[in-house]
Amino acid sequence: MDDTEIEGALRGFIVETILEGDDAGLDASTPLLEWGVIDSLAMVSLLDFIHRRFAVRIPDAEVLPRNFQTISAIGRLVKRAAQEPGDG
Amino acid sequence: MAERFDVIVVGAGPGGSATAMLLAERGLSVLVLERDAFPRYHVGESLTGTAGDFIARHGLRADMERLGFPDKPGVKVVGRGARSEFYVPVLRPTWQVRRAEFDDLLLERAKAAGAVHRRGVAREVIRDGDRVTGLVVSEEGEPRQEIHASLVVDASGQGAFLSRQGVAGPRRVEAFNRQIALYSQFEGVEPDEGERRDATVIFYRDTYHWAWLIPVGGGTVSIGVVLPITTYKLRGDSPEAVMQWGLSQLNPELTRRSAGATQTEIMRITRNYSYRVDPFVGPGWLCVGDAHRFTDPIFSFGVSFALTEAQAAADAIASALDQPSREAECLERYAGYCTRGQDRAAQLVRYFWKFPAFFAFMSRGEYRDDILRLLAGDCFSVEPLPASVEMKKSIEESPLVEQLPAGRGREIARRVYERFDFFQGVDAALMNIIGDKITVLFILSEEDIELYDSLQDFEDRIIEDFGREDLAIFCYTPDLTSTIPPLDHMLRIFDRRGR
Repeated sequence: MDDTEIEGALRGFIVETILEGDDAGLDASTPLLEWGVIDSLAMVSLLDFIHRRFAVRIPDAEVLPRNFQTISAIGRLVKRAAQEPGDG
Repeated sequence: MAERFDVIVVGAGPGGSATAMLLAERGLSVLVLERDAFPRYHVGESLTGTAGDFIARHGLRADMERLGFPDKPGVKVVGRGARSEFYVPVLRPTWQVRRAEFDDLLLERAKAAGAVHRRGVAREVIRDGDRVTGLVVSEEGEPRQEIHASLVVDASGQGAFLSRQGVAGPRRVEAFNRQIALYSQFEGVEPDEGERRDATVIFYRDTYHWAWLIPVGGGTVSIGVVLPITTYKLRGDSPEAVMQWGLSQLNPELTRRSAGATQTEIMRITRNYSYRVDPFVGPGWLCVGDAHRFTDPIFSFGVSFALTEAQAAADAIASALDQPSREAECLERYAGYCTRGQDRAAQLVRYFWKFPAFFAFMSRGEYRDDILRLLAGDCFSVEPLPASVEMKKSIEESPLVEQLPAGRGREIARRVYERFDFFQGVDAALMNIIGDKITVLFILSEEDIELYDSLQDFEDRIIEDFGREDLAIFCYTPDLTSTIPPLDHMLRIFDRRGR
């Protein structure tokens, strides 16, 4: 899966489920944490979505603000996690 | 002739009594001055692992058993929603204490070691040039008298005696200032299950809304409810009503466990408690514990840090008295040590509130051991733990600021973000860069003189580091919002309005 595809899927989930359809000009570099798009509750559902959609599990130690700052940061995290052996 | 001691300690709380005890054990003459009759009530009943170390090192474990203080197994943090709860066991044996008895125990130990204890009030300092050389003291029923000393230790707690005297730096509000805590003791609170029975529980709901539950032995439980001052007013028209709101609304577990509880103490209130004093050491004087800094009570660092600092203060004082020509160096080293530990603890609290969900994940992943150590009070190491490095980065680095072009504007924005993001009372900070001209605009939640002082300090430091040329800093309170220039083209360094 390429970057555009991953980012597109993440953006789709965030707009539909977290922002309830209000897309508010969200792009790959929108600061999600800074603007309060992702709060605690949203993050748990986002992790569940990543697990379902990409069949990867994000290790607890990778759940750090810098990996969730933007859609492109989350995309890189997903790709990294997908390359880890023996997970999913 | 005026009376003289090697050291006068103002205040017989844990920081003061421990300092006095350690100095007296080294054969120094020490006076501990305490305003109140002991034993007396004090909030802050939970100790961390470092306090446990102090207790073990100084042979107080038998006393803890004799007084029936519960062994503290750990801390449970309960938030909202799935996967928000986590439990952190203590790393070394430590206790939940009733402070009236615990503080009295430490004072008795100081006296047994040879410290002189008197009930009285420190009125003012005696100076010789820049140097503090003693205190004017009024003891109960006695006229004021001068007492001299080689060093004066301020362990006066939130009273911050030397700061109020203009000896130490001014008391400046810090990030968690605009909070109010209501607390009392209760009986009939349902205990937790199994080995967590006597654990501290922290319940949190929305940002800055939280409660503590600390079993202190004999079926008594300390419960406190903490709220931002702004929402406090919305939760009830009396402290009792607000406490009731907290017990019934903050968290379902708290509601269930406190359902059959009876309040057995009066209700007490503390507000605006987050501050620091800088500098807090100088010629002939130093501050220990709350007398120079109090961040936030959420992780129960108060007594533990006071004891850790007391140990470092006693070492610094003994070295300084031994080699008076090296006093400044000894005290500066002590100050650096304290600041390092207090800064790491402040980061921990700020990270918790800014990223509560991330904090819970951090406590489960490969950083777990670091989190356990930091919550045990091990914040003073020379090298930061990897978790501290990660948290500092997350708090201080803003993706928005990093997107700015390199230069003076970005450096100033960075400093504004580091200092005031998540600072209660500052709702937003905006910046305008036109050519070389930089404008910074703070939007405050309320008019507050202490907050202005902190901003003024910050402005002075910015000007010192970046020059006054082409730099303008403005503050707007809510009543002035209509005079704020159009903001659309401005960079929002942070903006929490409307959240």
